[in-house]
Amino acid sequence: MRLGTKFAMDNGLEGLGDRQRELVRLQSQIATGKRFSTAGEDPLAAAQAERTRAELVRIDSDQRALDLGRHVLSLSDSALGDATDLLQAARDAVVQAGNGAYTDKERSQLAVQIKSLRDQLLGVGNRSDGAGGFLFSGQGSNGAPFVDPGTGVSYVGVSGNQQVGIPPNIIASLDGREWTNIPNGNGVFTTGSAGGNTGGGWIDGGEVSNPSALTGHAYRIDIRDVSGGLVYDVVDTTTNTSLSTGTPFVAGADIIFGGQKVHIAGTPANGDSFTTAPSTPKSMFSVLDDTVRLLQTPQSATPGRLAEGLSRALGEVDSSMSRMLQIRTTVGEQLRRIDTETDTLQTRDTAAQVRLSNLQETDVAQAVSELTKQQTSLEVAMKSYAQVSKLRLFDFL
Amino acid sequence: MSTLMNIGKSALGAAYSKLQTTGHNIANVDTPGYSRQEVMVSTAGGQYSGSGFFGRGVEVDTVRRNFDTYVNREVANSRANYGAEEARNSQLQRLNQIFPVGEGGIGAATDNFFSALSDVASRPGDMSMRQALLARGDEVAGRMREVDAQLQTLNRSVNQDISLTVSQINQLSSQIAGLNERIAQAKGQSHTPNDLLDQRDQAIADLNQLVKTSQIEADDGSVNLFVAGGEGLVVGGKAATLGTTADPFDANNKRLTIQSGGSSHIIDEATLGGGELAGLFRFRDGDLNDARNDLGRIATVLADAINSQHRLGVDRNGNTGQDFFSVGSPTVFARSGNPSGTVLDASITGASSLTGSDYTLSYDGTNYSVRRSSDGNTSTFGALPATVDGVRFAIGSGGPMAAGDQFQIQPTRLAAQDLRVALSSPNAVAAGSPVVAETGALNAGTGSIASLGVQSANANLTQSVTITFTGAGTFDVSGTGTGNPTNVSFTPGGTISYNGWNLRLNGAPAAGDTFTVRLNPSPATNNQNAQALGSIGSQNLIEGDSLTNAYGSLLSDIGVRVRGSNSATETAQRVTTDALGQQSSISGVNLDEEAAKMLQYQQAYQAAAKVIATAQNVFDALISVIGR
Repeated sequence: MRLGTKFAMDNGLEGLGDRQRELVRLQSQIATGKRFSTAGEDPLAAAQAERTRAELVRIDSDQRALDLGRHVLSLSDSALGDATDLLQAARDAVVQAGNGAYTDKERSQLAVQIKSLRDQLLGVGNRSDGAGGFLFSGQGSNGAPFVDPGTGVSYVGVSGNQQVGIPPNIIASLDGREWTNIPNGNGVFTTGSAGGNTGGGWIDGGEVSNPSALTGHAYRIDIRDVSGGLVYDVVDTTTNTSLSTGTPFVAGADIIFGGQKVHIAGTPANGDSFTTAPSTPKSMFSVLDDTVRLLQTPQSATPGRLAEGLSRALGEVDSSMSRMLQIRTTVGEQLRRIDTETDTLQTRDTAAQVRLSNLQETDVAQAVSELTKQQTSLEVAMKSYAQVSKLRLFDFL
Repeated sequence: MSTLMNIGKSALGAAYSKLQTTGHNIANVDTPGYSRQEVMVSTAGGQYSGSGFFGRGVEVDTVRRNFDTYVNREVANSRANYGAEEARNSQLQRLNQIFPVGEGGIGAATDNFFSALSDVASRPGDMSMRQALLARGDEVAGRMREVDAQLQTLNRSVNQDISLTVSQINQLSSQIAGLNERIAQAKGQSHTPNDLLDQRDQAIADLNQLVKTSQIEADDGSVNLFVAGGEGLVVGGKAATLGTTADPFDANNKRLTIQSGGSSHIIDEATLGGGELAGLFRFRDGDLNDARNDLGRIATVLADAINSQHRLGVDRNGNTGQDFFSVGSPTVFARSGNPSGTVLDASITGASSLTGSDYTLSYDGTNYSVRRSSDGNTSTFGALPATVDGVRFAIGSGGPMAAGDQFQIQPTRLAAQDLRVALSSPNAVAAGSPVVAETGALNAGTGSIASLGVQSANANLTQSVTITFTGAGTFDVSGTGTGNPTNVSFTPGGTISYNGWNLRLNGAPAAGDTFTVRLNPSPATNNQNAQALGSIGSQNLIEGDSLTNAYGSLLSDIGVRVRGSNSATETAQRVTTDALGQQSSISGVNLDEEAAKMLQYQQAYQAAAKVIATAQNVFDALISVIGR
């Protein structure tokens, strides 16, 4: 085939140009460290890099939510620890108040102490999460979740937990309502003596003797004097049925009915009566407030009332402490979950980073070897071009 | 005696013409379109004598150019194809540069926006988080507007390129018409005007680079050129004029026209077939519009999804959420010259069904048909309003329509251009839910609240509603707007919906347990709507893609176009190079060949001169004998 001189020269030059462009492309890959700077250079890698980067941003924001959760929950855990310590101090004071040798004055000093503990407890309940919110604000509250207008502390937050992360799964605030619905009495039922009692008898906090026999009913124990001996009758006041009549009364002996066991100590008088009722929710603050009120009331006239009140207070403080423990367990569970999820996120993060770098970054070794190859072939092409174009018949004429 | 002299003279002349033509070939070695010329010679015939026929020397017949019509046509066609691919490719490269990848991209801004929503959900009470969300929203909107503005600039520059190409075409076609005339005149003589023909072939090839033509040779030697499947561009010595005019729908858009004689009409650009002009139109009406539509679709879906959820929430002050983003609405163009002056309204009712295509709505007097431009799919309706692919068409003012009315609808073309954050203050971020759900304080069962979502606006949304379980599987409802139903059956994990909210309960509630839904008393610190907003980021709203991935898909779509165009351009270039090689092997000048020929002709010339000298010597010898 004939070869046009111009075409041959042009074509040769174009070939050189192509090789030079390829060299520049490789050089820029090495210089920038990026395999592509626009989607057109590698559409699939560009789209995958976008997705991977989106995943990294997502992992990052999930991690921030986890960090926030960890921060809030750690603060909550220590707040719950503080609350438990305060309750423990209150319990000690209640136990101390049971000392028969104490006078009204000494007891009122203990009341002052418990009052102060109760105020500190309110402070713990309203503790800030360090970022403008409250640890125990539930689903949210406009201000401090526990308010004390002087008539007792009430919870004004929305019950529940605030969850963070998308989708929401990390608890970032605890439900303060849990502080306000401690079952009163011994946690299952509460005991009391009628207001008109004349004797020196008092009823203890009682305990559950047979959980399966519990009815959730209210009961009354009536003391009667039958020919010089005291007997008692048990009445189910919910259904108004008599359970037993005329059982001889022995101070401190077990009185068992409806799965409940109580003891009446001291010296009740004819016509005195004692009651039990299912527990109702009571605030931890009311528990302490009631105890303060009990200790402030002069007790010398009716020592039975003090013992009865202290027994109930002890039960209720114990219930409060076990509630705190229960919440702390949940918090610990959450913290452990956050740790697991953080680990998972970190694994995913590393994998995504590696993927992104594989997608985006130049394989320098490969690029350099390619560059060398291209360089050599360009040199060869240039030399051969120069030599071939020098070959002209005219030179020999 | 004189015969030998004459033979020598003819040989000398022939050798000289050959040398001259070789010189001409060497001179034009670099002239584009030049075809190698050759002197055609034949014997001058014989003279009869008693001893037979004696040759009378050589005769120069003509100067011939070496060419092959088929190969030349192949060159013109391949250049048309290459011109189209190359023009589109160079525009696509610019388009490719406009969409940034990585941190500077729209995808990154969208991710950051959703990440900021997650931060607001974590700290709903923190004003700086809300402020950051607005800033991130601004950034998404700003980047989309920025890219869209660059796309518009590109559109303007393509329109300018089109005008420029059209004027180059007009120049070439009038040049070809002029050459046609001169060639027809020269045709009268018996020899072909080689250089004029070369010029015309070259001009036709150059024209084909700009716009594909079909060539038909006429008897008088002129070539008639047709474009767009039969529009006469050059007929004999007359050239038609290409021009541009405003689109009958969108006056800002340029359409191609052809004017011959006094009349001018619009050409369907899709029928151009090849040449840079075809590539430019294909880029403008295909790639560029698709890119703008797809970008606009992301903007529309983002704004629509965020806005609808945002309106279900309450802001810091407990007020119902407003639109978070404002976004460009669909554009409707009535064809200029519609029989009626009816205005068509188009609005988006289902953003996630959007296709990114444009639509044409036409009325034939009975039916309305809506044609999707991307694939030509047509839906027909007896009456409006009607909804196609998430776009609702309705007659606005000036109805009813008349037969022949046509409208073009661009649902998302201008969406990105007008994407903005509509909220002015961080207070207005509706992060909170208008309602909260609480479990009863005395609940004995294990029932807990899994989720409370707001589904739709409702007048009784914030009324207190109490759900009281009457048994493990039934509950009563009380509250304004619920109709206070009793003994509703309960399935664990199932949804309980009243007054526009959805409540899901986990666990097993016991008889007597209550659940309350009520007005959210602390909207400033509630995060439930922020969470609902944040989850939009991973919902598959755009053809199975989430908002955070949609930009990646758009990028890859453009990248794939660029890659496809790159390889198409390379192929077209190879085909053109091959055709040019073919042409060069027939018509091209090879200097070595010419050098050899020059030697050959020089020797022939010297030999002819020797013949003359010999004739002279013979003559001299004769004279000297006679003179003696």
